[in-house]
This record gives sequence, structure tokens and C-alpha cells, in this order.
Amino acid sequence: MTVALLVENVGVTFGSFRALDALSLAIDFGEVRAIIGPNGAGKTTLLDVISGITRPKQGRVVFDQTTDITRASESAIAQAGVRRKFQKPSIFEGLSVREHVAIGAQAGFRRRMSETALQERIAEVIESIGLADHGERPASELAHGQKQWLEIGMVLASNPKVVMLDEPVAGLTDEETERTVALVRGLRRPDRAIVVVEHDMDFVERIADRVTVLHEGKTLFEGSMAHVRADPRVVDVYLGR
Amino acid sequence: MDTFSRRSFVKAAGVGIATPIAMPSIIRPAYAASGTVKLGCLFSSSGTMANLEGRLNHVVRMAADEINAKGGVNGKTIDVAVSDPASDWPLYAQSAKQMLDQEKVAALFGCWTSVSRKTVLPVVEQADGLLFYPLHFEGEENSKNIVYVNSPPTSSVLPAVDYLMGEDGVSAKRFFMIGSDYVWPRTINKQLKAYWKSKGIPETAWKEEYVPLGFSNFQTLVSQIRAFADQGGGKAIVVLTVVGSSIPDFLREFANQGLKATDVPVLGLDMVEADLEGLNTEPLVGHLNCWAYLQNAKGPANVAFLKKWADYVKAKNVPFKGDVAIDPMVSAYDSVHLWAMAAAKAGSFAVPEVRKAFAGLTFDCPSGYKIGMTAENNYVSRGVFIGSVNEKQGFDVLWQSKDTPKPVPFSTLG
Amino acid sequence: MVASAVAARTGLRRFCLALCLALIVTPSIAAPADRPGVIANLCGDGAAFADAGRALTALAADGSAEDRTWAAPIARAVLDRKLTCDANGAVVVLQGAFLDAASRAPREPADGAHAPFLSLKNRATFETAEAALALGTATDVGRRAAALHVLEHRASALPDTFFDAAAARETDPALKQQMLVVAQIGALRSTDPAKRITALGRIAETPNRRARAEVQPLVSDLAYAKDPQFKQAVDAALAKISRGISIGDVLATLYSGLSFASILFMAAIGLAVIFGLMGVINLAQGELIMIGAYATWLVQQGLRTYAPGLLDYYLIIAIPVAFLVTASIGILLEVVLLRHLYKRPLMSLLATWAVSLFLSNLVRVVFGTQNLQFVTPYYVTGGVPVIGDFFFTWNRMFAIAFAAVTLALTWAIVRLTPLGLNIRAVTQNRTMAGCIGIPVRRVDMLAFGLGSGLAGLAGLALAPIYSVNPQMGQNFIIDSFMVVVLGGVGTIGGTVVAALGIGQINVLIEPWYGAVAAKVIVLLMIIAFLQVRPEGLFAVKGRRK
Repeated sequence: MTVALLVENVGVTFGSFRALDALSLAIDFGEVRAIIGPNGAGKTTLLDVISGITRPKQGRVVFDQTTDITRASESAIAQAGVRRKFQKPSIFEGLSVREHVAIGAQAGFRRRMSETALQERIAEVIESIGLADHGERPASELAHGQKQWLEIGMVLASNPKVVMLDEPVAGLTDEETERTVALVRGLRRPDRAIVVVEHDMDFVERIADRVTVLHEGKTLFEGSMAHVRADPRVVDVYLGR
Repeated sequence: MDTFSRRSFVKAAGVGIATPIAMPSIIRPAYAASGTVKLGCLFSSSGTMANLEGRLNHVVRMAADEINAKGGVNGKTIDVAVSDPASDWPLYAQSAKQMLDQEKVAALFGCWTSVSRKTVLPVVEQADGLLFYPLHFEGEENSKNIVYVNSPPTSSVLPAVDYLMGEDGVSAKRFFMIGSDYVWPRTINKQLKAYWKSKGIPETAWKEEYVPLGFSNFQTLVSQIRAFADQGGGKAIVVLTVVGSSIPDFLREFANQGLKATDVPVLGLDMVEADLEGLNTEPLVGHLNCWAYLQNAKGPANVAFLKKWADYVKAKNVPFKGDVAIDPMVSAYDSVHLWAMAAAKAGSFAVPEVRKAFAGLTFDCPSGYKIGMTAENNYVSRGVFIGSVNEKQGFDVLWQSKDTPKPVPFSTLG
Repeated sequence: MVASAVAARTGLRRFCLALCLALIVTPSIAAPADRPGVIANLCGDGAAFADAGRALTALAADGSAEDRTWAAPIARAVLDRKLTCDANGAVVVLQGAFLDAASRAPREPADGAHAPFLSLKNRATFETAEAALALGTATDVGRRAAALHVLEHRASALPDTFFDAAAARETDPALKQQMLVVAQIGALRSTDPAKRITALGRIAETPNRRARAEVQPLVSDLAYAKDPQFKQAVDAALAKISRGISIGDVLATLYSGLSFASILFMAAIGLAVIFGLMGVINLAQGELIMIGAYATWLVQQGLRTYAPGLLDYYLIIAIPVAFLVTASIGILLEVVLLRHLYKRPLMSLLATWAVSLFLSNLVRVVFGTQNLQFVTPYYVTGGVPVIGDFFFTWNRMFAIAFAAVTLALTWAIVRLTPLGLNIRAVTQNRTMAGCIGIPVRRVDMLAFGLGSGLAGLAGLALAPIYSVNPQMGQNFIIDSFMVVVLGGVGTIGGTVVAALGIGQINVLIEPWYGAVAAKVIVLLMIIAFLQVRPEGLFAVKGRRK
């Protein structure tokens, strides 16, 4: 088991508010890690730091044991293979479904794959996210759930090493959640680490190998979901309410 | 054919490096030694008027050099201070104030548009300064602090319009007036209308249109002119009082819509040789202007002046053409000489003394006329030329007055 | 009453003219032209000079073929000032050789030779003479057609039979037909009612204000009251002409509006790309337009020196140059300056303003303040009359076509290329675009380059229409902002519709309330519209950051 993502002693403050307080965390290839915690615990900030949107005041983030991505630009991090789905369904409303997947598959100007390979990849991805019939539709016309999947599809298209999903089932119906579970399970590969931030405990339980509970910018607990539910501190600050 | 030779390019670039870029109203210090008297220029070298006004700075310097070479005035050499009001009307007043208060200039030479003159007027009146104004204009003004070196309408525009209405001209019966929207065109057109009314021409025979300053899209207006000219009822002419870059833009559209001077002649009241630079004038041959000087004026005074200017441009790397001379240049040149003559006659540089000395001055203007001033007012009597565009981006002299008509500051019309 | 007085006066003038012509023409029919006499008049005083002009016109009408061939170059030379008078008569320059005007023997002009001066009135006389002679002698059909076009306006200066005679000689069928139509203006005054009615029908074929001015007076003709058939013909012709004029006026308005819109579009499209993408208000856009025009001029000068044969096509050859030069300046501007100011919009606004001042002054000191001279190639010169008084000008058509091609290319770049896809992604969601690996900085840079390059192309398209000088950019910045804001920031479709709307409305208002009011009214309309729809015509979907 090799470490895909090492977060070491990372601190972020917004004014006097400590969003992350010397947080350390290691995520392995092949695992699905859920990160939970009450609002303001620093979950999204952690993802922002990893994806390069927020610069930490201290500490570092190492990808694949050798690459320090603490100061790299968003696009360089993404190009390296660390991809993210945002909390709110963030899609480009003017672009079609196919165009989204195409950008996901090869962002930027360099052509990494041939036109036919690209088309195959697009077809494959929109099939897997269940939008095969909607390829030419503008993304703005999609339903909420479909937007969530499309975003996952964009992440997926690039064949990333690390996938970060910020609340992938927020606002979805039970049936849609069910499909998302299958989708996330399908993403799982030995050479890929998956990080999921979610409030829905049932969802977390069904997909996560391990769970990290954040509280006030620090790790409160780390272990399996069963252990999490049993831990009194976690119950106290988060679950018990 | 105004191609830039590499040398002139390098020269221009050199001048560019040497002169500060766009510093509106910052006056370059003219070091006042004890033996000098200072004159100030209020001509823009940036903004829309730069191409026209810019060259007048150099003419004033040239005239000053010429006087200095002959020993100066009252034992002092003339020093010229230059400002850049950046084609921004209020800045003219500000620059004028600075020149009078700080530089203590003996006289100001400046302004092109009437708007700028009107902003400077209260400044020179308050400080009892002296402004030499080198443009022909709408008249209706007579300040003891301004010397009107060029002609009011009665001795410039009206003779030209008369000519066009006469048998020798084109027997014009109908008039399309287009002007930029400010005081000079509106006043000129008001006087013209009153003049035509006094001649019994009905109001239906004219049309009046104004465009914003800097306007360039003349397509619709030229179509209107074509329709106006084709309506019948006598020969139509255009009286053009647009200024600045609107002039070439208008002429280009006019020629493009297939109108010739022999169909509808254009009398461009602010049109000078410099406005034709950059135009193919072949389809424009025959259009008219009227000024108190044209480059093609005959006589030794003009030959001498043109040579002086060409030599000066060459010697001083002036970024304007040495082979183009326009009326305001000559008027600015006359201004400096008139001032020097008055100062010498008065034996003083004090404005009231100089002003008293104006009466009876005469000067051999490059136009070939002996121009003069009287005790009556600060107007200068000038000759009248009507020019006709030729294929070489210049004007041929079509008609000129026998002598210099007496300038009438206030029109009895309108 | 008034109309009949006018008719009477016209009749009187025509009578005088006929008399004059008869006096001049009569001897020339009997004998060959008095060549030395004509030349002497040419070099005589003002009145004699005008007589010479009319004599040349008379030769065109009634002279022998030989005399006409002799006279044609003289009329041309007078207009071109290639005829000089000296003590021994006059010398003309034909194909670079000095020839005696009367005998055509080679001879140098004597010292002090001068070209006769043309007053406006005499110029008209000689233009008529030249065209009348060219109509009968020019070997080139195009030249003859041009001559006919000149003479159409001046039918009254020619004998009534002139065009019939010319048509009889004409070999080109199309031109012959045109001549016969022009000949109808003479036939209108014929005494034969049938001829007049035919003439009316023919004249109504080319409806315009000039035709109406010819036909309108016939309402007060005696025959109008007496002959119902004639009355009917006149009424029908007038109705047809009026309809033609109306159609022509509508087309002219549409065309003016379209051409103004194409200019607005060209000026605004680059701004729309930049503003839409980065939210940067680029006040230097106008100066980039100006630099595009200067780049075009430099290409022209280069061609003049190194490839004079291609000079006519400089507007085409300059396309990549104008684009690349301004695009490079834009990229430089983005990398050096704006990149550091994205989070401070006001600063970036001021910075671009400073850049605009810098650029216009830089150009001013390098090239001077005067207007640049552009060669006007044949494809942007003049125009053709279409219907009524609608005159189709080629330079405007060039701008319209250029705008259409630019629109198509811009659309293709934004819709069909990877760059376009990236630009759209960044425009809509900058953060997310970064997070999926789009090099946002590079997209910014290239988009700024694209927007600037488009401004350069605008400069090229404007060069044949407007004066090119260091200040020209200032004229466009406000107009292009109106277009961008009205269109909805950053949409190509919005820019097109807004440009068309503003262009057309401006042109519609102008003839009624004048150009000054048109500007104000359009501005007020835009403000009112933005009250109702602050996001503009086409709202950008998604959020912009």
C-alpha cells in the first residue's frame, strides 16, 4: 500500500478563524476515504488546499510520495492527476454534456489522445454516468442529479490518480443516491485514491473503507464507519445531535 | 505620396525620445535670463487638434528666431514658452493662467477652436494679458485683450458664398450646411441664413445639420445631400463647418458616393491643406475653401516664407511637413511680427503700451497683402482667398480680393 | 402657377442654349473644325475658354469622326492640366510625349507656358465635353459607360439628338440600351405625344429623384390637362418613380445601418471576448484598433517598395500582419501588466487607460499626428447606383464582408477549437476550470491575444473608411462599450445583435433629429433598456468570477 496523498502539518487561517489546525492525513492508493465532520470543521478547506485553490500557511501536501504540490497551480495539480468535484454542482452551463467530458479528458491545449480515442473515451464515460442519451444537450438543462454525475464524469474522464468528491449526493433522491453509490464503487481501482466529503452517513457507510472525522480543523478520529459510530467523542460532537 | 523615409522616421523617433510624452499643461521652462522677453504658446500637441495646432508652436518659434537674428526687440531676445493643452478646452484657460502668472509672458499666441478662445478670454481679461488668435472665426466678439489676427465672417465667409452664388461661381441657389456642434459653426450658419434671407432667398432653399465633434460616419448625411441636390430648384452647394478629423472623413464619403465638385461643390470653411493629407484628392478636385492665405498665393513674400519654413523644418527636425503651409501658420507668423513691431514702437513690453501702438501698424504678410491694424479695434484687415482643391492635396487660388476689406467685428446680420 | 413659371424659364434657357449651340455648330457641319480657333480660345480669357469647352462639346455631337478623335485628348488634357498654353498655341502631353495641340506635331512648350485655370463652372463645361467626346471615341466599353454616367446628369447641356446619335453608333448592346433611356429625357419635350408617353415609360424604368425632377413639371404641361392619355402616363410614371425612390430610401437606410453595425461590431468584438472572459475593461482597445490600421499602412508601404505589383491587395495581405501585431501587443500587455491586477478591477481599468495614452502618444511621436494616406484599391473605390437614390459603396461593402468573415471565424474559434472550449470553460467558471486542469493563465493570455488581434483587424477594416491618425482609437471606445454592455457581456451573439440594433436605430433617427440627437437618443434607449434588463440582451449563463 503506497500513500497517494500525504497532508502534513497543514494550517490554514481565515483572519482569526483556524480552518485547518496543523492537520496531518495520509490517504493510500486503492482506498475510498470519507471525510466527515460538522459544518466548519474544515472539510472543504482541506480539499481546497489539496487542489491548490487555497494556499496553506504552513505544512505541505505531497502527491504520490514524491511530488510536492503545496504551491503548484490548480491546473498543474489537476494535470498531475488530482481531480475534484465541487460541492455545489459546478458545471459550465453553456457547454454540452459531451464538451464537458471532452474538457475533462484533455483540458488545456496539448492533445494527449487521438480524435478517435477521445470520442471513444467520451462515449465510455457518458455511458458510465448514465447520460448517453443526453450527449448534445447543454448541461444547464440537466436535472440536479444528472449535473452531479456529469461532474463526476468530467473527473472520471481524465483517468485521475486521486478523485475528490465534495458532497456527491447532496440533494439527490434515494434512487439517484443509489446510482451514485454504484458509480463511486465503480471508480475504485488499486492505483487510485478516492476522497469523499459527505454528510449522508448511510452513503458513507456503503462506500468508504475508512473514515476521517474532522473537528475544528483537526482530526478527531480515524477508522472504519462502525468504529466511528461507536466512538463517544464523535457521537458527542457530530452524530449525537 | 507622403511616405516616411527611414531618416525622417529615425528623426521623428529621436524627437519623441527627447520630448516628454503627453504631459498636459506642463510648461517647459524657458530660462529667463535678464536679456530676454518671454512669449507663450497655447497650441495643443496632443489630442484631436494636435495635427493642426501642433505646427503653430514651431511657427511662433521660427518667427521669434527670425526677430532675434535681427537683434531682438527693445534690446531683448525673444524666448518662447510652449504648453500642451491637449485639445481639452478648459486646459487652455489653465495653461494661459500659468503662463501669465508664473512665466510672466509678454503675450500669448494660441487657440484654434472658438471654444478654446472663449475659455481663455476671461483669463486674459482679468490679468490684462494679450492673446493673438490666428484663426478666422465667427466674429461677435471684441476684447481689448485679444488680437483677432484672422478674419470675421464679413471679410471671409460672405465673400466666398457671394462668389459661389454669382455667375462666375456656380450660381448657387440652394445650401446644405453641415457643421460640428459648437459655437463657431452655429454662429456662422446663423449669419449665413440671415444673409440669404436679406437676399430674398426662401427658407426652403437651405438645410442645416450638425454632428458631434469627432463624428466620422457620414454615410447618411451624404445620402441626404444627394437627395437634396437632386430635388431640383437650382444648383445646390454644401457649406461645411465640421472640424478636425471629420473633414477628411466627410470628403472621403462624399467622393465615394460618386459626388463631384461639379455636381455639388463643398465650401469647407475650416478646410486646410493639412486636412487633405492622406486623401486621394483626384475625385475631390474643385471643392472650395476660403482663407486669408493659401499656400499657392503669388508674390515674393510667400516664396520667402515657404523657404523659411522648409529650412526651419529641416534644421530643427520639426515633425511636420516642410512643404505644407496653412493660413493659421501664416497668421501666427504675422502675429509675432505684429507684436514685435508694436512693442518696438511702444518701446515697452507692457500690455497697455503695446496695445496703444497697434494703431497704424502694417506688415507685408506672406499672402501678398499689406495687412494692417487701426485704432478702432484689435482686428487685423486681411485679404480674402478662395481656394480650389487640386489633385496634389493642395488648393489653387480660384479667386482673391483686390485689397484687404475692413473687418467688421459685429455682424449686422442675425 | 409657380411650376409653370419654372417651366417657362426652363424653356427660355433651353432656347438660348439651342441658339448658342446652333451658332457654334453650324459652321462645323459645313467645314472641318476650326482647330487653331478652338486652341486660341482655350488659351484666351475666361469667356473664350468657356466657348472652347462648348465648341468641344459641339464637336462631340456633330463633328466628323476625325474631328472627334482630335478633340477628345484635348478635353481630357485640360482637365488633367496636361495642356499648357504658350505664345505659339498650346502643347498637350499624350502618352508622355509633348505634341502641338492643334497639329499634333511634336513640339516642346515654350518658356513661361501655363495651364489654363479651371473655375468650377468651366470645369463642369469641360467635364461635359470630355465625357461627350469619350462616349463617341473611347475604345473601352467601361470608359464609355463611365462617360454616359457623367452625361446622364447633364443631358440639358447637350443637343436633344445627342444620345440618339450616340446610341446609333454604339456597338455594345447593353450600353446602347442605356443610351436610349437617357435619350428619353430629350424626347420628353418632343411635340409628338406618342413619343412623350414612351419616354415617360422609359424614364420611369430608372426611378430616382432626378427623374422625378424631370417628370414633375409635366403636371403643369398643357397636354396634362387636355390629353387624358398623357395625364395617365405622367401619373403612372410619377407613381412608379416615387415607389422606386421609396424602395431605394429603405434599402439605403438598411445598408447604412448594416455598414455602421459592421463597424460597431468590429470595434466591439475584441472587447467582448476580453471583457467576457476576464472581466477586464480594456480601455486600450481603441488604440489597438489604431495600431491595426498603422500595421496595415506599414504593409502597404512595404509592398510599395518591394512588391509594387501586389500593392492593390495590401488590405488582404495585411490581415495576418495586423492580427499578429496587435495580438502580440495584447499578450504582452496581459503578461506584463494585467495578470497582476485581476483581483483589482479598478486598477486594471486605470492600467489599460494608461496603456492607451502611452500607445497613442508613442504612435504620435513615431509617425507624427497627420492622417495616413492609404491607397484605395479598385475593390474599395466608388460604388454603383442600385435603385432610386440608393448608392452601393464598395468600401462599406468591404467592411460588411470583413465583419461577416470575422464573425464566422471568431464563432468557429470559440465553438470548434480546443482553445475555444477552454475559453468558454474559463469564462463560465474560472476556479473549476483550473481544477480540471485547464491552464487558466494561458487561456487568459491567449484570449487577450485573440481579443487584441480582433481589434487589429477592426483597424484594417476601418482604414479605407475613416481617417487613420493616432487619435482615431478614442472614437471607438464608447461606441464599442455600448455594444458590449447592451449585448450582454461576453456573448458573440449579443454583440452581433446589439451592433445591428444600435447601427440601425442610429441611422433611422439621424435623418429626423440629426446626428447629435441620434447619439443621445440611442444612449438613452440603452440606459432605459438596461433598467429593464441589466444583464443585457443575452445574459451569460453561469457565474463569472
